[in-house]
Amino acid sequence: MTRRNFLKNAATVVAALQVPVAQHATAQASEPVVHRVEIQQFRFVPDTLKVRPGDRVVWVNRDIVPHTATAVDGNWDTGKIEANGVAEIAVVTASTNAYFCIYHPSMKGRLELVPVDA
Amino acid sequence: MRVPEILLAVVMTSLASCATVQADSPAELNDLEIAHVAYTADNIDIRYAHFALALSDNPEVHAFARTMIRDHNAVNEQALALLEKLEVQPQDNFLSQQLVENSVRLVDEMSKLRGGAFDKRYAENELAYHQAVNALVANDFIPNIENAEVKSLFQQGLEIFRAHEKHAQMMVEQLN
Repeated sequence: MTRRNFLKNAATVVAALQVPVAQHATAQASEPVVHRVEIQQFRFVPDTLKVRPGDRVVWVNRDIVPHTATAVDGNWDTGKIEANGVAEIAVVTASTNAYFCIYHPSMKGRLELVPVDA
Repeated sequence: MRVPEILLAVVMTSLASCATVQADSPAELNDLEIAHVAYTADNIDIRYAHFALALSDNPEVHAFARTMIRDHNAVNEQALALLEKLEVQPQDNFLSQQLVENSVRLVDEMSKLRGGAFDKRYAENELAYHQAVNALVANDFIPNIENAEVKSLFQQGLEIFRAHEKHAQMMVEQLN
């Protein structure tokens, strides 16, 4: 993936995720975290992540074929992640997101959202 | 479920000749012949996929076919790069030739089908084809490949083609 495509994809995903979230009177208990998912041998590793709004999730494709990480409910999509490519999303929604690879639908993962004050 | 006839015949011949070594056994192919079989098998599936894109209107069939084109081309690129690095050429052999002959017959058969009948036949063949090729790769090729880099590429390829097999199974179930 070129740097332009990476930034374009990231910006597209962030823009698509500008959905209303619950207002919290208190500040976040912890700083945003960057989570890393490795795509290896047609698996998302780890396949489940606990994330908070404001965190970022980065997928790194270690396979020799392209993949995607795409929300089952259509809420977000990394687009094509080329072999040895990287893509990321910003976590802003307040709902649990199951996701899969559009090209290889047996590949599945999950983002489990933890409330900000948890 | 129909297994491609030629691959079934090859496997049966291989099993029947365990006591004596035959020159036309998949397990007797050398690394360069195995590479040729893999490249041929990839290209055959790419051909089937282009055929499906041309003759099918089913979006699931199209999605599967595009994945086959994308993935088999990626594997072929890796294989060719490795062969170039090793400064060798793949070697034609009886199994590559039989795969091609069988694919010609199958394309002729599928060209007479349209609509749901085509989709089902394409999906059925994709599942059987991947099952048969995966068995060959796992049982006859990988254990006998001598070059470590070639073996590693085949192991990666097997993971890909097993995912294709699962996807083909899903497609068959959706179409039935």
